[in-house]
Amino acid sequence: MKRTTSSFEVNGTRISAEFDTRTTLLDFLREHLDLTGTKKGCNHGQCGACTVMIDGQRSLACLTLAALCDGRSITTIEGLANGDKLHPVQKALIEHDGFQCGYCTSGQIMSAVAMAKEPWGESDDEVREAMSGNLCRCGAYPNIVAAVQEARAKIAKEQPDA
Amino acid sequence: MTEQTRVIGKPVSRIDGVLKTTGGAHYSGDRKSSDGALLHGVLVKSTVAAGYIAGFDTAEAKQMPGFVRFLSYEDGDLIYRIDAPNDDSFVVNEQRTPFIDNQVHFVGQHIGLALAETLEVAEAAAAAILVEYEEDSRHIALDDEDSDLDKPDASGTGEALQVHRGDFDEGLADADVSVSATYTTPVEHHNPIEPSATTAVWDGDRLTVYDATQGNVNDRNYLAAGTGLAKDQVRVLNPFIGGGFGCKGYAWPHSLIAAAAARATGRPVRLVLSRSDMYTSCGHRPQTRQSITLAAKSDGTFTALKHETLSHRSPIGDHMEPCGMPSMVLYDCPNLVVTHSNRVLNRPSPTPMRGPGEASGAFALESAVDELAEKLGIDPVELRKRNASQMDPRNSRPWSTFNHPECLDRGAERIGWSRRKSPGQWREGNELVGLGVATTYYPAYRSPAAARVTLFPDETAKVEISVQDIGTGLYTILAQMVAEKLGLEAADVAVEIGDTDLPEGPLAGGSMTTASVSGGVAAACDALQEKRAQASGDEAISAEAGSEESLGFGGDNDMGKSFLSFGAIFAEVRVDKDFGIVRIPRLVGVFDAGKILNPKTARSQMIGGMIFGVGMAMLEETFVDPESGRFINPSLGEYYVPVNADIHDIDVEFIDEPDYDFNPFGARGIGELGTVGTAPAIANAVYNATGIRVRDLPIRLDDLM
Amino acid sequence: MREFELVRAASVADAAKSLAANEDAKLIAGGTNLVDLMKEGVETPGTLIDINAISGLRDVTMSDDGGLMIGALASNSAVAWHPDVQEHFPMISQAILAGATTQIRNMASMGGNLLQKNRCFYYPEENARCNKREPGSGCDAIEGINRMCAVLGTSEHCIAANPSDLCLPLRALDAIVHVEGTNGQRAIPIEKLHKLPGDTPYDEVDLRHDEMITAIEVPPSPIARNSHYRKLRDRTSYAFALVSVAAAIGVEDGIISEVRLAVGGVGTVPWRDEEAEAAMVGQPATQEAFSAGAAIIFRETKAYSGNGFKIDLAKRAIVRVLSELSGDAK
Ligand SMILES: Cc1cc2nc3c(=O)[nH]c(=O)nc-3n(C[C@H](O)[C@H](O)[C@H](O)COP(=O)(O)OP(=O)(O)OC[C@H]3O[C@@H](n4cnc5c(N)ncnc54)[C@H](O)[C@@H]3O)c2cc1C
Ligand code: FES
Ligand code: FES
Repeated sequence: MKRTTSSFEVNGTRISAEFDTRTTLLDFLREHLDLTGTKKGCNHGQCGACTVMIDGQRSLACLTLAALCDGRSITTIEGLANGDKLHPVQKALIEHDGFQCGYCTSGQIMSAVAMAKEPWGESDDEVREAMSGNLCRCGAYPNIVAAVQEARAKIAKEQPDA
Repeated sequence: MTEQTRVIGKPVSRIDGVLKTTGGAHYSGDRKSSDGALLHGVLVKSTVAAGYIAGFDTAEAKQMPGFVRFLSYEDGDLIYRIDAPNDDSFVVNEQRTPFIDNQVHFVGQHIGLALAETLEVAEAAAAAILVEYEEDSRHIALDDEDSDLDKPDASGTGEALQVHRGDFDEGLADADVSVSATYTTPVEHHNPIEPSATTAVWDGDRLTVYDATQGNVNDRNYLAAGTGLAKDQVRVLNPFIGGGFGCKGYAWPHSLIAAAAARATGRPVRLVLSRSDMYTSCGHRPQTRQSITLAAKSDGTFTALKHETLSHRSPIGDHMEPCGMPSMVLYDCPNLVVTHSNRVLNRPSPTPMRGPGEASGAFALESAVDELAEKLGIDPVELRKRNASQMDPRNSRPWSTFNHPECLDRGAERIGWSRRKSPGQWREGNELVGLGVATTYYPAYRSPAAARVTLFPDETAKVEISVQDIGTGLYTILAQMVAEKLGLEAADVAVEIGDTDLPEGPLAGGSMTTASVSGGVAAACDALQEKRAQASGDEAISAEAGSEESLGFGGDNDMGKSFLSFGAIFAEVRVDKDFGIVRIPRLVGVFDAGKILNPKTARSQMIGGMIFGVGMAMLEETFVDPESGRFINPSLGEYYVPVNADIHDIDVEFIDEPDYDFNPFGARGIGELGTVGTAPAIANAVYNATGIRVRDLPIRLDDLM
Repeated sequence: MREFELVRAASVADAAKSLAANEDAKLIAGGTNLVDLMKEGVETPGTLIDINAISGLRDVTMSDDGGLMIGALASNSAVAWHPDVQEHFPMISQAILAGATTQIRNMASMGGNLLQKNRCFYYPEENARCNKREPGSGCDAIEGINRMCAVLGTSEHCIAANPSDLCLPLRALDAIVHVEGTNGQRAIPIEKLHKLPGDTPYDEVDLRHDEMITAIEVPPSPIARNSHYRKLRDRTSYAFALVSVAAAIGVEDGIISEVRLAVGGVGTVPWRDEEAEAAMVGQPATQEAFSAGAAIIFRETKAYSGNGFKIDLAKRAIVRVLSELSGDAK
């Protein structure tokens, strides 16, 4: 089996590992690190359920080879809350009922957190477009938009320059 | 129970919200695998539509380091023959026992399983296995006259499918105006974002299965039959399910294949279906062609209705899409003909999908009502109100609550129906604007369910039922029910569900879980209250009870009433005059679903249901390759489900009239009610905007250019 | 997925050398197309050369004369949000933002985008006939489901449309693709990069095996400020184009002085027809002129069972976009 060695950071922890070159970041997180909060919905970049942050940018773990993450820093849904203190996006999603089955939710949250720092406009339509890379078959979209808007406003207030 | 409630009816946030937003909710594919014991399975699927497997070449796969084993019909004795038609302990939509022989009935049938130490190797091995076939002639097209055609008497839920009431020809002769048209709907797939996944673990002669199923008890019974175990030797766990919409409702072969593989290897086995596996492994909404004739007097009174459906099933499946249902119940019409035919095709097996029959059937019927209104010159809201069935037309029983006309009126007000113009007359810039309406409905089902409730000395409680929360909010509703009955807050109630070792409840389908469990929960709480009166207070007390009777669609019961939820959907659409692109700035749904136990989660469900209807109306189609019979867009990239940007304002209102005849909390199910009328409301709005009647879903821009 | 060796290239020369040494090797940048196709078994490289660590290939710079130089490894997002691109070449920014999703655009490189494979339903399907995937096997799309396929530049061997949004504004602007191989550097006009399917649909681009794209140069174009990208599709977002239009126009005293126009979703390669542009120049900037220009582009088409509507749709989209850009939106 062709293997490779890489080291990168996941949620602040340094990981060095040797693995099959074929292993995607998604399978590495789920099967090697038991970080199963990041979901596999399609495995082909078509649903957004596997969205994680790589060096602060939202990315699809299913199309990322783990070996290409060498030296990078990855944040998953498990690394978002600060202990028991939920991130404003997590809180807003619960308050606005922005999920049903919860399977797309990790990806929605990672996208929403990233989106707050991207140069999108203020309108609901901008949020809809910016969040369109995350399918939700349960159809929580209107609630997700409401939650994202509330969280964005809160984040902007807390960190005016972020 | 009185109308005054403390916890029921309040917009309580989901009690499983923190788990679901922190990645802490574990789904069936999430069981720990890093300890090295787990084997990964990947399915090998047939690539021909009909024939026999002549042989496998596994040489390349076997050389891969980490490859463990390949299973196929050659290991058929691993699985016990399931007696699906005669074993009433479980329901399946595909009767054939997996791996029972070498016959192939459709492209995508499971013909083997590659097992390996890692997922990468299992995938590579499955791809490297070569299969040789002896091909047989295949039947792919809906009008393939050479293939068998069934005319089933009854649906899966026992409703009559061939119905003749009064004298249709006489009714037609009596009419002043009539419309006749044919409507079609394509193959559609449920596509929950969580693919089905099974993790099977043997411990001696006990089998534990983490399975993504909407019906764990049904699944357990199926697995027991297929492994030759007693039911109490099998435990199915499904605390979280990533959506189902029907495709995880009945049991499917992959679960049994995973269980058999775990037994054969003596190792835990995980089988997660790929997205493309999802297209052929667990059902779809079949293609339909429906012909409708609807006739009326000039005052709008319906005199005759004929609704004939042609659909398809697989050679090893039995699902019939019951499209004629809405024609049997929504309107008073003395002369009615409803027929259903099913072509046997070499396509995968269909199964119920959100609003099975109702959604595709309502698209046809509610479009025809709109066409008739136009021809009569009567407002479509008015025409529906004039003909709305005051009693159940099947048995002349009164509806338990009846707000069909009121839903129409309230919806009309909310959408601003008075703004509506004649077809093609409302133009703003490059856009043509239109409004449309359709009635929506869903039968109220109920199944037996037991529950155990425990009260602890610290005044917290626990409720335990086998049932599953597929995203409907059941965790929260159960906490609310128990809190209400025992005088606690929802936060004080722990909910344990998703485990067949707990008191048994029904599967999550037919929008019936909430209605079903409420009987058992109320009874258990009542029993507990009696004990509580005598108890000292320093020990935990527990009570278990169940509700026995079930209630099917036909409303067979001794209460002298029929139970059905009605509603109305209104759509505003804006169509680009040159491009035919449709935007839906606003959808309004007004629903009468009995008492709304939690307006927050209920509203979400209605919105989700309506969005499902938007997909059906505008986007969703699984293409069948006419030559090979293959589904050729088996992905989330080429099969379009709505994205966030497709959805705008969705407005939901509930009538909120409790139906205490139906159950102690007065609730009827809601899951499917939002979906059923949405596609026709949109199609009718598109007609109003453009003057173009689209009778074939989905509505695409090229239909409107 | 087939097993592969992973090699990390430190420089362009290094990457070219590794390619030259290995018939079976492929470069990987963002991986958004390649990894997907490797999972499908369509791409089966024995060696992957990771080019992400090569420095100096991520910059987006504007020259004094107003042209752009874009590094091949710049992410699609970085280019789309770049202020100079947004101001001076709005249609480039809009085309990128109309493609895929933020997650994918963050990962996707500019070089990879130019070389992305087609989206015909039959292409990834192992058991379908497809002359791109399996030369000589036939084309199932011609008689099958071809809604996403092309009506211009097709052959009896292949009708797959080029799916890239980005390539359209680049084609309209006469971009130049800079490549480097073991034999040195070349500059390829983008119109020469993609090849018509003809008898060899599997031979898709004018790149030698050992060559790597290093940069994309966009020459200055004063009318590019007045440009727009419009994408029409079945789903509002996260979908490939049925039809798209990248257009820039200059109008002086009501007369068309210059037009640059490329059409997507309709061609087997990013489609531009300079004859149509020439016919519009000198005409009054009216819908009639735009319509006449559009007719020239589609003077010779071949439609299939499911995609004939694209011809009319594209013509209407061209007229709409040019009208809006020239203020003649009626
Ligand atoms: C779900 C989905 C939706 C999408 N939707 C759209 C859309 O709407 N519109 C659109 O335009 N695109 C769309 N894309 C395609 C996307 O834009 C491309 O996948 C992406 O641009 C490719 O860039 P990459 O860096 O990831 O390429 P890779 O996947 O890394 O490489 C692609 C190919 O280019 C080669 N290559 C890469 N870099 C170089 C280089 N510097 N020199 C030579 N060869 C190189 C590789 O060897 C490979 O053959 C979509 C993709 C996905 C997965
Ligand atoms: S699992 Fe990665 S996008 Fe669907
Ligand atoms: S919550 Fe179920 S898919 Fe989004």
